[in-house]
Amino acid sequence: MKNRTLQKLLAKNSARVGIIIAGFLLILTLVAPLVLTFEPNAQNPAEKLLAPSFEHLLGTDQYGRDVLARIASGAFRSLGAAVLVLSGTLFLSLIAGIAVGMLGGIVDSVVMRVVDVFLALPSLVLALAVVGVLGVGFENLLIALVFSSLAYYIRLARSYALNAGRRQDVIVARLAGVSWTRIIFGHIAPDVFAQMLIVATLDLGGVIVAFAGLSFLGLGVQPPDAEWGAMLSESRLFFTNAPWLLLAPAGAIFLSVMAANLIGNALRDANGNEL
Amino acid sequence: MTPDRLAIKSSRQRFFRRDSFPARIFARLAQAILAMLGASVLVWALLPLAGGDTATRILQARGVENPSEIEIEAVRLELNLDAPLVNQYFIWLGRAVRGDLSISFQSGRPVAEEIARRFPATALLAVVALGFSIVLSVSAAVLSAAFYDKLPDKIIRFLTQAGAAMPSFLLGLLVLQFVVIGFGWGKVVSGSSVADVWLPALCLAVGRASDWTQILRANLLEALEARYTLVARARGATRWRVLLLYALPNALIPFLTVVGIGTGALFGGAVIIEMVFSWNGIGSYAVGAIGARDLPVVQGFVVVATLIYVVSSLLVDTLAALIDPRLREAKSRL
Amino acid sequence: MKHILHFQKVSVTYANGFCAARDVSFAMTEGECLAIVGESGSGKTTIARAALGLLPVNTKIEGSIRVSETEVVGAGEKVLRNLRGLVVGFVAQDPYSSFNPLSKIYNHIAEAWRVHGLEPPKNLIVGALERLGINTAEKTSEMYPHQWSGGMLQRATIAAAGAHEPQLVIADEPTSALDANRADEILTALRLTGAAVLFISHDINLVAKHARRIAVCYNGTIVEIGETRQIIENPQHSYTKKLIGAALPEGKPVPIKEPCETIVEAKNASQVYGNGENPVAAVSNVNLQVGRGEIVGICGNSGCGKSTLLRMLATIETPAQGEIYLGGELATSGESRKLMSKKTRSGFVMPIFQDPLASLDRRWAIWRAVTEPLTAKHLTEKPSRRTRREIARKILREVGLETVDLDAKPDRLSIGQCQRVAIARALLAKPALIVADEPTSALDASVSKTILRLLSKIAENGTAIVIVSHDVSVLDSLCHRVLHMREGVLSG
Repeated sequence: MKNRTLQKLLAKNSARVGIIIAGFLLILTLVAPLVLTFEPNAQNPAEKLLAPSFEHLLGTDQYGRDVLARIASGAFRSLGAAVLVLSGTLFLSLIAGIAVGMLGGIVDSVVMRVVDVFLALPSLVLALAVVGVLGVGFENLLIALVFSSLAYYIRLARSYALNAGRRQDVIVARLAGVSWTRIIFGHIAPDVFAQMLIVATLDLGGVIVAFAGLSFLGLGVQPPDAEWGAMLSESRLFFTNAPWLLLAPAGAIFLSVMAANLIGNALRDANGNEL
Repeated sequence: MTPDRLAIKSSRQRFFRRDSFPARIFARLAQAILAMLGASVLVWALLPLAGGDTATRILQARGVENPSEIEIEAVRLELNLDAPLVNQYFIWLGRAVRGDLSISFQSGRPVAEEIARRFPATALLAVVALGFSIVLSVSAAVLSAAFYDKLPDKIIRFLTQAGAAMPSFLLGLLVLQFVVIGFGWGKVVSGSSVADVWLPALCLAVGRASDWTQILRANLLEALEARYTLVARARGATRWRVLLLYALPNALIPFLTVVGIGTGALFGGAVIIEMVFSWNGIGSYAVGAIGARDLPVVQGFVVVATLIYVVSSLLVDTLAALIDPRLREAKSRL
Repeated sequence: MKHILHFQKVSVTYANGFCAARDVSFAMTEGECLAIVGESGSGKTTIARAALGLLPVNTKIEGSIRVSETEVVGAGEKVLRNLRGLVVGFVAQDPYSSFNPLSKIYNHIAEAWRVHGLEPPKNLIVGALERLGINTAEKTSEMYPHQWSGGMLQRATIAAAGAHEPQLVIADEPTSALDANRADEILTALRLTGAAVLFISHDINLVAKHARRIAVCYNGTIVEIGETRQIIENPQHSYTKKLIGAALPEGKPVPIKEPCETIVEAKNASQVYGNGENPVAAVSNVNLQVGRGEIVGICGNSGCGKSTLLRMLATIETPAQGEIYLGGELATSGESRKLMSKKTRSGFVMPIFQDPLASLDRRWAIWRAVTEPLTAKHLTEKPSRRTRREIARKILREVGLETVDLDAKPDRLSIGQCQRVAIARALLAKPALIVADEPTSALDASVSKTILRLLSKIAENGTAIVIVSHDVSVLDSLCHRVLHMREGVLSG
């Protein structure tokens, strides 16, 4: 069945394009640091604001740092952050959502009211508020982004768990006397996880944007560390003379969001047809 | 939860179903107020959670560089900072409801006043962006559904894919670089006025309009598959009549919810585009405050953004009920 | 005689390559009532839509369809619009979904005029509704579709379909959402329009009362067409025989020795749904006793409460009032709404559902699904994976699935095979009672026959079975007792 989902996925052109872009970015993230001779943070005043050439494929910035090396090292942070945020959100929401949905009763009511409160705040505003409390920085921004969508994920995981709990195969297992623990790990959790994974994939592009955007505002990765959003804000004054400083990180963000959207949509469609 | 407990739960939910239209609206209103109250606890808690001595920071904001013990004590007394946290919350809430959002640590001026001064600029930007988003997405989605799988649909699908992958701040930077500086249209540092609103609003609208087009297009295609559209076609209705008079109103109901949530998020989401275009709104004000850990300003920003978010989703729910008779009345068949 | 509808060697292939109709030929004369009968997926709905030119774009149609001398195949939108509504009226399957939920009933009927650029005649519309038996139509037609009952909505569709006195009305399963009495009324109303009626249905017995001729549709072709009497009394094709029920298992089941021990008992069991002011009684005051090895059938229309009763017997739902006893022990009661007997969660009752695919976890290989009851909490000894596979192979052989791959996922199996897997799983729980909710309605005739035979074999081994169906002929062939349910009330 897994293979069939994969087959359906690969049958779509959009998914193929997405996978190719994602593969390209992955190679950039993992291989470029090994091949490139430039340190992403190494300043070289003699070579500042050089246009793209064979030596510096994407040119250099105002401190003479190689832009390609910084894009590659930024990919590690930008994309890694998005994956980290989503894994964290997914993990917490699965545990909370399934637990709350299965326990029901007072626990369910209380947790869901708290969730409602968090849902009353737009997610970006919630992220900003958390950064306001914790202070700026890479880790704090990660926490803020997990917080900003956790409530939504918990509510979703809970409703998936409730739906799975009403399924006929679960009713049969229950009547046969199978324990709840077995049912949850055998029937409910795998189902909820599969559905939540699709949601998270669809969300990946949004998280990349949010992370890059908030870093652009100076709330995330701090200089001199490279991150796509931070690179944009650092070099803003030099765009007119050195447009590659704008186009390189912009292209990287655009491509990764595009790849994430394409794969997410294809995954949803492939799975939707199967259900 | 055991299946039988599920059964009881569902029958209980049915028991509490509110049926008449005013009762539903009232219930929805009560829900919104409760959510706001809950959110207010959250917002208030930002300050104690952040740590640091509030009284000292307030005195510093008032221009007292090295406040003495006595001065600090006086402020603590004035703001009831020694009271139990629960009391502090209610004092804070009482003031917030009356429009007193404390003073900014940075400027020493009342937060409410500062926000009120910048609010019109943000509102202008958000409303124009909302208008763009709605007009763009509805027309593109209708066109796309009308020419399903033909050239216009393919073009629109390609554009929405690209638009959805283009974050507004990125588009803003590109527009600023290549349209404003390149062609000399618009201003680099905007005057936050009606004359300058078009470019930032468009940048803010493109991503949203792309998402919304994709959603509305899917809704439209689904409605065109419904049996009532088949029946209308069998009576002799033209494709356009079916699309505009049958599919569109039905597709708009779920779309409205999306627009409601998006609208609320626009006020908070304008933050980054405000920074890009140097737009003097509450978003750029809040970002400055976050960097300086000026928490009363952050609180004020969150309060305003949340209020708008809750109100807009409330409005949208009411609007949906006005369009859809099924959401309006008790379900009782003759 | 003039033909009002003429299909000549029509084949329809959908964009995904599925051939829904093959070489379909038939003709209808003016004022005639022809019924096309067949199970779902047999191509009958495709035929109806093809006649109106309403198949999806990119569908390939071969042959010729003429509606009162106008060729439909390949015709442009303009030509088709002059037929639709004016020459051919259309009544769709499910009345609830054939109305635009946002617009009033009156507007729905008035659209029949408006779509052709005409002013809707108000008194004519109201008059037509009243003639169809809708009282105070002037007022009630200002209501919304969700406020009308299915029967009323279907009459409103008939009023709209007959707006321009068409020569032909195509009715696609016009009664499938209605109960039997309503269905008769609707069909009579349809006949009264005076037009020729092409009537599409899965229910041959209902059709026989109204149609002059019947065409039997199977697998995309018309296998038999002729006068109603001739078809009913002397069916030629084996599929037609199945349809009229001639092919059900012969004879009554082996009688059971009386008296026997009571396996399940419902005492004054009631279930209520709906809100406080406006409760809907799904099941009211049902008393039922089922003994060892007994097969009890419950027959009724959809929504009569039979499935709810079944869920209460299986303790999936607790009754709002009354008690359920399993093997003589109080299992659930309306007062406490708790499960009191250990029997409720130990495989004492096992359910079989209508859609077997939904009752199997689509991620689980069938050996795992079948042997799941062996992992139950009350069983102290949990078999190893290897023994589970052996047991699975053995029990699957018993239900006639020896060739099936143990590691296959349910979606690789046919629906009939899935139903047998579900039954095998139920058997492994060693239940005293099996409750089956329409176990054969998703299956085609020959497969359902084997499933029914399997169930009666299970009962011979001492398991009590309660089976629910809308099809009385299925129950008659299988059950010791058949009870009827109507609006929540059970009667003998």
